[in-house]
Amino acid sequence: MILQFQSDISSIHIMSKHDHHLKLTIPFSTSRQAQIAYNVISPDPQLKPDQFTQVLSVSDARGASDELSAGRILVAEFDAASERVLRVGVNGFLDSLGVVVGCLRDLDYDAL
Amino acid sequence: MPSKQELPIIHRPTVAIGLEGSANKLGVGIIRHFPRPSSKSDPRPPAQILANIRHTYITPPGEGFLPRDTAKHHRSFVVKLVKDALKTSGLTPNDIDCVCFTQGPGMGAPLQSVAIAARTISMMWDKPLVGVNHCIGHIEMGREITGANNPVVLYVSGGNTQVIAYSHRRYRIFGETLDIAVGNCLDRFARTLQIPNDPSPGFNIELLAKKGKHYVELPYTVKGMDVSMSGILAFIDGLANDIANGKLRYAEDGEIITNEDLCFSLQETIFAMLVEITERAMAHVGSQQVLIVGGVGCNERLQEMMGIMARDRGGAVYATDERFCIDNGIMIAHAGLLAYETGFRTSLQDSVCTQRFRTDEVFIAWRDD
Repeated sequence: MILQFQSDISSIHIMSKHDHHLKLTIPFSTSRQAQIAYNVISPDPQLKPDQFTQVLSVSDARGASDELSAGRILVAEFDAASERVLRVGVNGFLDSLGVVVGCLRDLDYDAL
Repeated sequence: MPSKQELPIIHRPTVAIGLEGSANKLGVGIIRHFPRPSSKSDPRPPAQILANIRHTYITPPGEGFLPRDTAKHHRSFVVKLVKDALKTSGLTPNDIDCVCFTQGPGMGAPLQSVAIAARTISMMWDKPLVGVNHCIGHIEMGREITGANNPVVLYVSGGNTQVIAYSHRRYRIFGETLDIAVGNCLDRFARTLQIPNDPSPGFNIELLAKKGKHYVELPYTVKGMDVSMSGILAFIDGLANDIANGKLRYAEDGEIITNEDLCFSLQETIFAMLVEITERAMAHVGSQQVLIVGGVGCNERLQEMMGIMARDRGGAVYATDERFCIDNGIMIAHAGLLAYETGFRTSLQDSVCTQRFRTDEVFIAWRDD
């Protein structure tokens, strides 16, 4: 699994309140896995919503760079009031993502 | 709220997996429930424990566990524990009916890290999610293991101190701590004394207390049905610091007061307070049974003192061993499965954890008394 880091301000779709952005694109093996990751991480609210925003989405066929990646890429866009807040928030997201990936890898039907 | 409802009849056994991580103990348990007998007067068969695995985050002496590090511990071990629990039980995901997890109360980051795992497992295996109140988990597991049907419950742990009695589909809080929990008082005194946290600070205080000989008078703070512990902690911290600084005190027999004496005196004082408020609740509801749950419930001196009081009233005290009184996953699986059997489900949106979750917020649909 490869994480691609892009600081691409022009591709930020959310309302940018702050100056510090990051976009992560996380490819999964299947769209089912990407959808699970999206559903699992989305419900939790941010601790400091006025300083940090996190928007998740699963890539659709139109947004994908090729047909194979359609629907199986989790896109995470972050918007933060400072570099420190960005780092802390993104690390929190990655911590949760790590648990999801660990479960998908070791506890899914085909893994057991 | 229905005044009387027929409990749904489950015609086949049901199995739940439960994940617990509200404090520094990470627990995964798998439990099986058997169908209720067709005759209501017959008791339900006992639950079958298929797996109960726990891994504890233990900090060095003198240090408590912080949310961030505790969450990191849980994230590191949760997948392994679930895998081990499945292996121990011999079951596959297909055999599981629901995925239960501690929704609260407890520490925010640790709770959330375990909820993430529970949600993922629920979605991967396509099984319903059930959020469980940690206190209800303790109570229901205590009832199941001891067979105490309708006791006054003393729930005492590092995070909670409550006297609870059941009435009309709720576990009602009759008395509680006004500030810190009994276990928190003991754990923090253990940090003051710099004694090890392995296997738990309370256990090591209990060992020291057994060697104590002299009772030192401490503040005794029962306030009606409630207790307060922070003043006692401040006072005894002062005594311990005096000893450490060479300012010694002497007992009537001329011997110096030691840390063992302080541990002994602390236990005697706070346990006597707990016995008092428990007895008050028993008198109020007319109950003869006391069930002690929560990590502090492992303490043999507390069980002994409570037993003396209960027997004086013609009753009895019930307690479980460390598999169940210390935080564990099986109690979450058990309480979650009880709720699941009444049709209770937790949607993803509703699965956000909460640090404050009162025991009486839960509607006890599975009891009809």
